[in-house]
Amino acid sequence: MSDESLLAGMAQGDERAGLAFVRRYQARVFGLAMGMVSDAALAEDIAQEALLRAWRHAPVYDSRRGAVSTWVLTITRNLTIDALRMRRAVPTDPDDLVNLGLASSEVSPETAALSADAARGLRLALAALRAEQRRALVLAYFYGMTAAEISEREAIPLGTAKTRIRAGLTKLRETMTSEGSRQ
Amino acid sequence: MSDDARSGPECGRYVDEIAELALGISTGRERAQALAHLEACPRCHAEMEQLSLTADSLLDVVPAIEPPLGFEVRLMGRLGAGRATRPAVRRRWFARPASLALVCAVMIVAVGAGVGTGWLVRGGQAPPAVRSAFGTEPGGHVESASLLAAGRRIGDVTVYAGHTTWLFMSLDDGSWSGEATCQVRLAGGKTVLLGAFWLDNGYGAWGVTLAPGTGHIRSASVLSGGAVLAIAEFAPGTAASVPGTASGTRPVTRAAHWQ
Repeated sequence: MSDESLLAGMAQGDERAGLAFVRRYQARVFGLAMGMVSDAALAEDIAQEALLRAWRHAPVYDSRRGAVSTWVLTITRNLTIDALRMRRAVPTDPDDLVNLGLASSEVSPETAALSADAARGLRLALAALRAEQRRALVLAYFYGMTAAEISEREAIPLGTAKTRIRAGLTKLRETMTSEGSRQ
Repeated sequence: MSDDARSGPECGRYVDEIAELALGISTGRERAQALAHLEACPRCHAEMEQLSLTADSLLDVVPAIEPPLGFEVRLMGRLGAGRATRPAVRRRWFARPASLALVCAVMIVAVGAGVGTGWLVRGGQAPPAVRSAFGTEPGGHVESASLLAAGRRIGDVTVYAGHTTWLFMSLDDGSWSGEATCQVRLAGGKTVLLGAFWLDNGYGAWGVTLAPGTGHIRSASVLSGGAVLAIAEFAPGTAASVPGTASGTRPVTRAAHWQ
């Protein structure tokens, strides 16, 4: 059954559809939260809240605005950022988050190009970024840090932070596009 | 984009902001200016959408991890509890002195506190309605302090010291849900974990009877996962005092909602 069908069932109050949705996404949702906070208890709280929100907001999901997986994982990411800010907790170091699997240098780019696994290709694209660009990208996307916050955290000028963010994202896009055209 | 024939001369000014918009971190006037430009520039708008897709694809590469045992059961339990108790409109009753006084009164009944010797409000931090609720009764005393998170009030902690002594806290702020713990710091610096309660979308209320002899409470903290969510400091010289001999604490309620 497709994600959209499950959401439609949840919107109608079908608990079996909801349970199937939870079972489909709980590992990815928990994995994202855990990767960002490195605290199992906190990650579970976040994951539960994310799935509850997805369940409750199933009727307003709009497929034109993105895939279901992006929707539910974005909810998770935003909740995690909120939790980190509210608790003033220390997030996972971006390098540690990367080492969880965001970037992998274990496989050569040639091997990745032959892989049908888009996620694997993306990990390699991340690995191909300069370290400071990758850190800026992770801090911005996963921790919601503005350029000014990254500038302060990394002790670099604001302009440098902005450049790293933009260069990291555009290079990632170019690499993905290039890899996609080669596959 | 800016080297494209369809791009306007001003496109180059927005390359950084477009990337930041795509990542969801653009703020303030720069964000407003960039959005205004995107409305007038289809090329930059398309660029921003492509970068947004790239950014969102990062979500797909974080490794999946199976959650702890019981995750599903706890989730379904919360879903059922939410359906049963979630109010249609969140009530910020902690901010309403009359409601707080009512809850405090309920707490007294709930713990069977002796009121034969009456009540006395001491210190200046108890909300007016709490003082009026207890102020006519000589004997005990009530101390209240605001729970602060990053300098912002998100709830209250009230300690009543009398024949039976209790601590009551209420929170209503933010979107956080999960189990939280209450910890107090005594005058000598010792910290005591009093118990745990549940926050639902930042909303929760909890009380505990305090053992005789617990001592002077200087502060009460709400924690989760080892991190301090909020803290209430009792003013110097008016620290909540719990007379008698220590013998443990007894939870009064774990209710997240006072209906």
